[in-house]
Amino acid sequence: MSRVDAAAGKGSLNTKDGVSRAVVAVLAWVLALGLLVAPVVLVFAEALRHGGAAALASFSDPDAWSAIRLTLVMTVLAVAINTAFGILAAWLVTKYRFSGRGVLLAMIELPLSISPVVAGLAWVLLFGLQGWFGPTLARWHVDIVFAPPGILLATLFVTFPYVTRTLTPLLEAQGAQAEEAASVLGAGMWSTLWRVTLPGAASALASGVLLTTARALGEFGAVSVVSGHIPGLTETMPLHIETLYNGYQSVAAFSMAALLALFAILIVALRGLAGGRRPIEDGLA
Amino acid sequence: MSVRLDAISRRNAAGGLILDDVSLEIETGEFVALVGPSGAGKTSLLRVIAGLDAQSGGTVEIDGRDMSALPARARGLGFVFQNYALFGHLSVAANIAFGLRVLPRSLRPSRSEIASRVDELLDLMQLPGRGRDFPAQLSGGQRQRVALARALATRPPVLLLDEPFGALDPMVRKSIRTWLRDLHDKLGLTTILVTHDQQEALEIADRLAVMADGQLVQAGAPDLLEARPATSFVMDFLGDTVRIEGAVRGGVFEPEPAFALPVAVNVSDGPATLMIRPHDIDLVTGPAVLTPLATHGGFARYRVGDAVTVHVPVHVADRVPVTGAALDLGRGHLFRSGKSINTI
Repeated sequence: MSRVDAAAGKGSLNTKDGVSRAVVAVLAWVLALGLLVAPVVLVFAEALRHGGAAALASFSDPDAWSAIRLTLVMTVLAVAINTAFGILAAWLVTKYRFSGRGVLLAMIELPLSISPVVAGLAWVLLFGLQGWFGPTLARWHVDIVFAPPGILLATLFVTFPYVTRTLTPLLEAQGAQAEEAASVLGAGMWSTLWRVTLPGAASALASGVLLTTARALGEFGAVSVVSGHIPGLTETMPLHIETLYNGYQSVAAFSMAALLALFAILIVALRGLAGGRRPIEDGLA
Repeated sequence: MSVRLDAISRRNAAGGLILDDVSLEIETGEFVALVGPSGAGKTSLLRVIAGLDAQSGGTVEIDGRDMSALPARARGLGFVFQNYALFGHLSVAANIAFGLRVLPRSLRPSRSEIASRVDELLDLMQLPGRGRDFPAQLSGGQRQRVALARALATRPPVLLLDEPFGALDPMVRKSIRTWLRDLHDKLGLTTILVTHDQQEALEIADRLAVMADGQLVQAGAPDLLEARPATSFVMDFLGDTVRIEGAVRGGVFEPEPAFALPVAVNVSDGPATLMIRPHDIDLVTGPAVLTPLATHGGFARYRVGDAVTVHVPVHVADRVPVTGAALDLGRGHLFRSGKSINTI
């Protein structure tokens, strides 16, 4: 083949490549717009169907406020607890080789594959009135199921894997050397964790925390089982939305849904920011 | 401070012996290079000294104190990693200050003292004003000096260096080598350097410890190793060698190749291998065909017969016989089963 032929052949290949690339891009956009963006837009449209005033007015209902407050409190608690446990778990499984490590790793991922409803039921079986510990708890006047502690437990269960899952691969990649360097410089275990390991994995940690937050805010299934749907007491935002919708209060339902969607969009944006600031090289230089 | 290694052994996770009964004493102020091919156990030994890996047997004493049970962070030694292992999320100054900041409160210098120590080290490392930079913004040579500054910040008496020049280009390597040796002398350090580059070790160290297969083969000053290599491996490792097989009969080493002259020796009869540096071979008139090769580094090089290369200093090259040559091996070393049997 002469040089001209070769160039022409390459050119036509590039054109073909370009066309298929464009098709893929268009498909991706259509899917994203149709499946992801359109529903969110619809939620906002429905909420604002009778005007902004009507949408805002729906938040003046004390049950709505209670739902928002409960959701935020549960989310803050769940994120705080699961961030701490997630860091510990990720650290444990990456830095130490111990027997049962594989089993532990698989167990951490269990909440991702188990249906949240099953998880909720498990809590009810444990702590409900008819459950194993129910009578004892009743004697001590401790309410777990159909009360905020149960909601917290359910939320903790479903959001457990995220911090560990995002942190573990990065800690694996970081390797032992930075920590060894810290240790020959005299740093102890905690000092090393706070000064070297976690800062080196900051973006992954932020990502995991935000994923946990998003999941905690929106969790329906597990919470639905343990909550008992008591408006003003044990209804989180997602549960309250369902109650409103089933009661044909569609503006109020969609307003609440829009607020939840706003939280979600905020988290996605924050996650983008956290991911955008990549750590310098791989934390080692 | 002196470092004393007594019968150090270490097994890897699979049970293989990666350090085998290594004993070595390093005196205060000495610069020792651990040399050997990769897999010889140099880095393993350094990590055992630092406390990063535990030995399976033997003791590490520093200044007469048994360190064997202490973790790395309690040993107070300076360690520079092969890839420097700088903390990428910390500035150069914060990297250097790290060892001071993690000291227990009672021993920790004040903020201003730490800052002035960092400035002092930046000057010493010829990196003035670079404290605010991040490691990723520095060149390889600069990172290496930051790693060194970080290791020296707490004034450790012993400095351990794991292939510190490995990632640098040859020009930088040469200059930083001399500079490091000066630093060692100036600060009165005791330094142990791991390198696979014998040339580097010969240039920088007071003493070389040659390792192979997890064992210490021979330790000594460069001229001692050159004059009396304990094994053929040491001889081989420290420079170019020509190897001539033969046998000793009645006090004479008789080489197999016809173009090599017999050498009078003082060892018992039996097979033997003579090893010699190419520049230690003298050419005399003889039967072998002499093929001139390229001149390089002040040596005229010749091929004698079909295998042996001889290096002749250029200023005596006119004395090389032109008609045909034989090898005078009088300055070689004789080995039997790899062990030195005589210096001729």
